[in-house]
Amino acid sequence: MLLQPPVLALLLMSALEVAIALAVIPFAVSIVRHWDLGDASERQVRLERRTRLVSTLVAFAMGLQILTLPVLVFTADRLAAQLSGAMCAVGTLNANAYGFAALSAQMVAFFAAVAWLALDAMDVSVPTYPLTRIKYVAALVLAPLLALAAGLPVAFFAMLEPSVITSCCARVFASDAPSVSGALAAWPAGPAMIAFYVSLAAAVMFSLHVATGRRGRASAALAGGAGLVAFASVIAGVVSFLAPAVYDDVLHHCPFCFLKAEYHHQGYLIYVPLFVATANSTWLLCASLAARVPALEDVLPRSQRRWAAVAAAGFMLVALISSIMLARSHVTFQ
Amino acid sequence: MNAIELVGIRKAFNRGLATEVWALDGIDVTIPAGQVAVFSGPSGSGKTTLLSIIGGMARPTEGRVRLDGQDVSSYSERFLTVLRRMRFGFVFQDLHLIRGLSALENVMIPAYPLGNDWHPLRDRALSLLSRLDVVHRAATRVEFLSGGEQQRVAIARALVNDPPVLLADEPTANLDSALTTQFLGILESLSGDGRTILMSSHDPAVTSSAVIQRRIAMHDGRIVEDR
Amino acid sequence: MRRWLNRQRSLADVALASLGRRRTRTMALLVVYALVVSVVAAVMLYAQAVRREAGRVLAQSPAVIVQRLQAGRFALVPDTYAEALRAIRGVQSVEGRLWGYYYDPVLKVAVTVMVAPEGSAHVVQDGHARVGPAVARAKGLSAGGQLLLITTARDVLRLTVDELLPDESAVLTADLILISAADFRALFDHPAGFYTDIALSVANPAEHRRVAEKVTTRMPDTRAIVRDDIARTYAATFSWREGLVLVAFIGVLAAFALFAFDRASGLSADETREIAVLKAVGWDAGDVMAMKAWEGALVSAVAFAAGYLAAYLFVFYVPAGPFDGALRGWTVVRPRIRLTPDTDAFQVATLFVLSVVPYTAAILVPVWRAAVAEPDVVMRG
Repeated sequence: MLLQPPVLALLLMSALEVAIALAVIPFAVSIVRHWDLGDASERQVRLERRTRLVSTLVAFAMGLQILTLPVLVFTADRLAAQLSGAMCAVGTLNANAYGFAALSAQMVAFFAAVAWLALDAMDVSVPTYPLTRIKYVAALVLAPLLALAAGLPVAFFAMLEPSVITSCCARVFASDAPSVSGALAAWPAGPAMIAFYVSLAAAVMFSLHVATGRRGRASAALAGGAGLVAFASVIAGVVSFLAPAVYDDVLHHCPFCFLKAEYHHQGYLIYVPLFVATANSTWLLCASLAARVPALEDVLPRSQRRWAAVAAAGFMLVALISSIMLARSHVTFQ
Repeated sequence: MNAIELVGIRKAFNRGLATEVWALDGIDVTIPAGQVAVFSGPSGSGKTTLLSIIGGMARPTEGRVRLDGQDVSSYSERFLTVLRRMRFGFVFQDLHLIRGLSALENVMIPAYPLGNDWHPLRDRALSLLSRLDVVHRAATRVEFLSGGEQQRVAIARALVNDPPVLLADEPTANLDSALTTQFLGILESLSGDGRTILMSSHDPAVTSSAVIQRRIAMHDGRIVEDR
Repeated sequence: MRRWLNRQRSLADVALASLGRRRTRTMALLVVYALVVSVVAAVMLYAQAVRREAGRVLAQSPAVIVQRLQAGRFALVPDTYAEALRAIRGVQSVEGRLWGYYYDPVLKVAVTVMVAPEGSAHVVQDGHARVGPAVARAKGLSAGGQLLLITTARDVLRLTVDELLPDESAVLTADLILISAADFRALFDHPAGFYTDIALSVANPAEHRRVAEKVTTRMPDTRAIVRDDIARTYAATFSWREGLVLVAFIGVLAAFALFAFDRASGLSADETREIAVLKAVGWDAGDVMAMKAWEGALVSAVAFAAGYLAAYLFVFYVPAGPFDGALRGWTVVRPRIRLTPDTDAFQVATLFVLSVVPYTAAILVPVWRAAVAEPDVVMRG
């Protein structure tokens, strides 16, 4: 099923991501080996110029992932019409082992690229470039991850057989389905809602704490960590109760259908602030790791406060919008 | 306070090739803040290269550059740029205004990356243009300005970020004697602000001017006279 | 944030001025870029519209069609089957259908001959016919004209054309001739008591497949075709053809990327000098790259909008575009349809990925190379 335009678009982006990964590796190796700021030689100047290219390439790769996520989900949705048993994106993604793996890998790669760019931003904010070596060691980890994230959608579409009968979202996210998704759906709305709001509240509070003053590493780490936990529990909450509330159907747990026009694209109202907030939490986490570098003492707190403020705002927005969705729903949860 | 300190500066071009030349060959000089100095000497004596190195536009092959006691020789390009933007204003020999843009836009351009508010920036650019008597040409595209007007626009551009040091490379090379006199007048007024002014010139009208406080003569990449 | 906005605004300003100064170059790039966008967009818009059209047609077709097979070949269905089918639970109504292909020796093409279902508005009296627009065009027919068909027994069947079928449903009716049941049987020597196939309507969409299964279990010599299966095949076929056409354009895309790369790397002396001046007066390589990114974004936005608009007008308002053959199929009596404009955000996103992303990728490295150039060339004069 490779010869379809959205799939071609995904293949193109995958090819570019692999190209970026391949280009980054030799740069990273030569920087790890030869970087020496004290050296005014031509080679050092060349290396420094190259770092600008690498930063740009990674930022471009991150942009590609931002595009890939919705295109992947919508391509899957479109292809559902061509697969027996599939009624929306979930059915298609579930048609072989690579579907959800591709989606998760893209998400992980996205946050990894986001984290790397945070390292980059912190590194170049001080004349001594204190993180350069660490940053390029990290790039050597990031590059294969990018390549993997790029490869999985290709594998997914290449293996997609129209004759295989798959399950629609009502099955995958049915509460008796023996899988993680099934378990999430089966999670009673009560505890899920408590986890949802508690984790969001924690993320907002810890982030606000960092945003409103000069805080240390521990606070930043706490805020960042709480943000990642909130991300997970929001996704779980969407499957468990928020999606059914939006669909007004206790049996419909799909986390993608509400991105569609039929449901007025409401899903974006949750996912966009969620991803923005979580990206900022990732930065906070990186900042807490980088805070042990003395050269960053002056610059970190300021960036940290900004990131924390954005994270807090994003999570608050998620809580607010999901509350409105719940209030407007006719579904009652036990 | 010693504003600019150069220690053992050497600069090679085409290093390692048969055409290798040492444009600067051991420069030691200290320029205190607020001084108006001129580097003189025949073409090829290394004046321009020295100004590039002082202004952070080129790196020395050997030696250290200190600004206010801070060694900036091994600064990365990114921070050299930041430094250049905050500390130095340049007036190039060929002026290098950007054609197609108005005089006002040309003056504002160095400040664009800073992200300052537009209206105060425009007001500052206009006040510089009016100080240099070209404000009536602010909206004119620079290619339609006369040589003297263009030079004043270039000076205004060099001053828009309010740098403590002004660097000018052969500023009078393309000016007639009347405009040269006018330029020296501008120089005098700028020096009155307490700005350090460094020039390269082999124009006797400049080197003999009373505005100049210090004359450094160069030959073959070395300083031969300093008074 | 405010600083950031100010900076972006200024950089965009400089980028716009820089594009304006190189008007010819910019225009050349815009034209080529817009052309590439419009070609890709036209293929996608066309395919999507045809897909939708097919979907609309299918929506009117029966939920389940029952055919009889004999020795693996298609055979006529006795009308006794209709009674048996009516007994299956979930079946709302059963209708025996008469239709076939008539080879027209003059046109040298097969057209579809059909009997309109009883009770429909298109039921035709004996001796009369209604014809689809493509057939009418090919045979020069109009309402009141005479349609001559040669029967299997080599007799001539003279029919009066009541009216032409409307254009709106051209995909469905272009090559169609509607006649009465008696004329149909005479034309094809079709035995009484048999139908071509039987259409079932089933109230509950979820039961389509189950009903089809029951039919084949109870009547092992039949096969039941479910509408959804046809829809799936249609969708796959059209998407596949669309993809195939796009693959043919990969060369175009690659050539365009190369062109963009070349444009971005081959900076004019003027442009190189300008970048050096900007760097000399205090712009960082990052500032230059951001400014260049604005140039790219402005060019892309204009080219994308222009290309998409051109494709839209071309596909929906210029009849019989060049993609007809590749995307819809090959036939003499091709339906002349006016496609219903149909776009969505996802399609635009796909188009964006297929045009703006390659452009951006192509100019990345040249832009970087330009941005890290030495500033001190302005000193060397």
